[in-house]
Amino acid sequence: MRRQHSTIPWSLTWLALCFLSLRPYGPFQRLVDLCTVPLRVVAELASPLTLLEGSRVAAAERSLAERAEIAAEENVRLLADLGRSALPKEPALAEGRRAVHAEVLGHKDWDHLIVRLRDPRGVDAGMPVAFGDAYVGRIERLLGDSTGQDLALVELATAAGFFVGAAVQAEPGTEPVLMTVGGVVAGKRRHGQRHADVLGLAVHYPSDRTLARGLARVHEHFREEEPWARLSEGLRLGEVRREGDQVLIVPELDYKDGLTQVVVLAPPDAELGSAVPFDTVLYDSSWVRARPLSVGDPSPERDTRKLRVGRRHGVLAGAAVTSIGGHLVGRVLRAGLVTSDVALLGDPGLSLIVVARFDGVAAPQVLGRMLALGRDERTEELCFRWIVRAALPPSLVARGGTLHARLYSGSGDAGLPAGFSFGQAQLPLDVRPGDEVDVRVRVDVEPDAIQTLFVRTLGAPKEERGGDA
Amino acid sequence: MSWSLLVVWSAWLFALQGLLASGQAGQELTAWTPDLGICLLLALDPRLERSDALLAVCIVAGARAAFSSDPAVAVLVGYAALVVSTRRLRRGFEIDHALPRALFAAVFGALLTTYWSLARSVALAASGITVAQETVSSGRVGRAAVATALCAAVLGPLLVRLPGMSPLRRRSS
Repeated sequence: MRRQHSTIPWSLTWLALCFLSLRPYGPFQRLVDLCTVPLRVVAELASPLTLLEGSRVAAAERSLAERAEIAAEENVRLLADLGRSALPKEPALAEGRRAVHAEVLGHKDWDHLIVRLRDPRGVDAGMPVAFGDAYVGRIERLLGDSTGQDLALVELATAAGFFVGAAVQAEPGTEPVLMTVGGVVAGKRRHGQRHADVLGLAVHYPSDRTLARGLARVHEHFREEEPWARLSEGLRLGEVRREGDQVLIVPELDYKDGLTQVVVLAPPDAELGSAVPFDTVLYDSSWVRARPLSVGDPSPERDTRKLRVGRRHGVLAGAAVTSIGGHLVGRVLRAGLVTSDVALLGDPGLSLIVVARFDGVAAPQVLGRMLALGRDERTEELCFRWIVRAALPPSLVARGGTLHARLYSGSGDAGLPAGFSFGQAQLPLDVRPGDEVDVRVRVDVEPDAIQTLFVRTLGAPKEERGGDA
Repeated sequence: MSWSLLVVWSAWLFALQGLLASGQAGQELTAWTPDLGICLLLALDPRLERSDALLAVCIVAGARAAFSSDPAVAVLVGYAALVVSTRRLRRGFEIDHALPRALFAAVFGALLTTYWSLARSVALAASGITVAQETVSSGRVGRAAVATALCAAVLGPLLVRLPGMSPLRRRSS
């Protein structure tokens, strides 16, 4: 009988812990975080092991430091080019509008973006948001600058309650077909899997129900009632397609993961001047320097490191981790109080929005989201899965085959700024929305070869890049 | 004192395991990384009282969690299951010889690798990511199990003879 009494509580505790390890529960997780704080001391006990690679690390870091200026220039150039890509190209769309750059910081939910405005002056709720010539949505409200940034909430055209007037010129010389566009049409694609069940933007009340093709552009029907309607006039929504008896619009954008910089279209104002792209964040004060506590994760299928910085230093989950010279090496997976776990680029499940600069192509291309699958056991290259939600521009698709590209981080995930180079790859060009393409990436920096890392802080800036933790 | 030294040795064992697993000691060794926590617990457990075994599990799991990104609770649950199962089995079978210990280590090496991968996959799935489970192949699990079995058979007796561990060894004798 005594044994029964002593076994049951232990078994129940074990089962409860087993359940909680698979279904993390916030308050319990915070308690575990607190209880595991002393483990930093345990990890420090074996830290002399990190000195084993001292000379190799010093040589690799010296080489990175020598190339740091080139990498920084590359970062600045990419941000400027991304800013240029976000501006409307068609002369008719650029005229009579002032473009205000906005960096996508993340998604509030599937249908709302949080953006940081480069210059909030003259920007108001209801103004249209565009990426190049494509229509993105409207400013829902300005969020103020409580964090020292001018933030705004953008409602995307994919939102169920969003409606924008549109017109399609099916044939030259014919009457345009008028319609309302907003929300999405969901369903299985004929190819592709899992990640792309959205077929396109939903079309409501088309004036011609036989419509089957043509380019849909924004054309607000009640312009006098919408104060900023004329600013969105003519922006592209996408190609009309018929799926059975349903008409939909295939957008030119990946609304979920393909937006890293956008522009708000405001009325022209001579005093406010023209659009200015974002500065690099490489030299701002929201970085903290850290050295790894460990040489590797005990699980061979993982590629992570423990760092000596945590929430106390302003580090939060998702933050970018870079090497000397601003090469992205990973993201913070979990931020504890005084330590954090960093998922390096080879850690399966690491996810980031990627921008590619194809050889011989001036404009950078936002590819969308890539997921790390781990390291190839034979070639040692990193494998990534590219989730394609929007086709590449026709000029690239026409080339066919593959093309070499340098890969950079894109913004759109909290804590991960755009423009940090991380590797290069041969990318296929004839991809279609719904495809999932496995890509092999040759990384710029092997994390094993470096010990000086910089972590992006999301909270109040603590110290300049170069400060030690 | 001996418990403090168990903390130190566990930390060093997991740091070495991390070195092997990260490929810095040779890429070909990565897939053959043994779970030294299993080896250490299997070697220590027969020599410990029940309450001491619980403390040993907490220390070894804590040391692993200090280096690993796997959830600390999952690590604790895994090692606790190992020790409880060993104690149950020991009532009916002799499992402290090299061969049965190796067999037991292999089984738990495979089980724990799969369980920790599952915990990771569940966490990723919660954020809409469904790729991690593809990366833990049966080949990898098998090699980790074999490496753990070999280590448990060969290194097990040596691990309990590490400096400072003799008081733990003598507790139950």
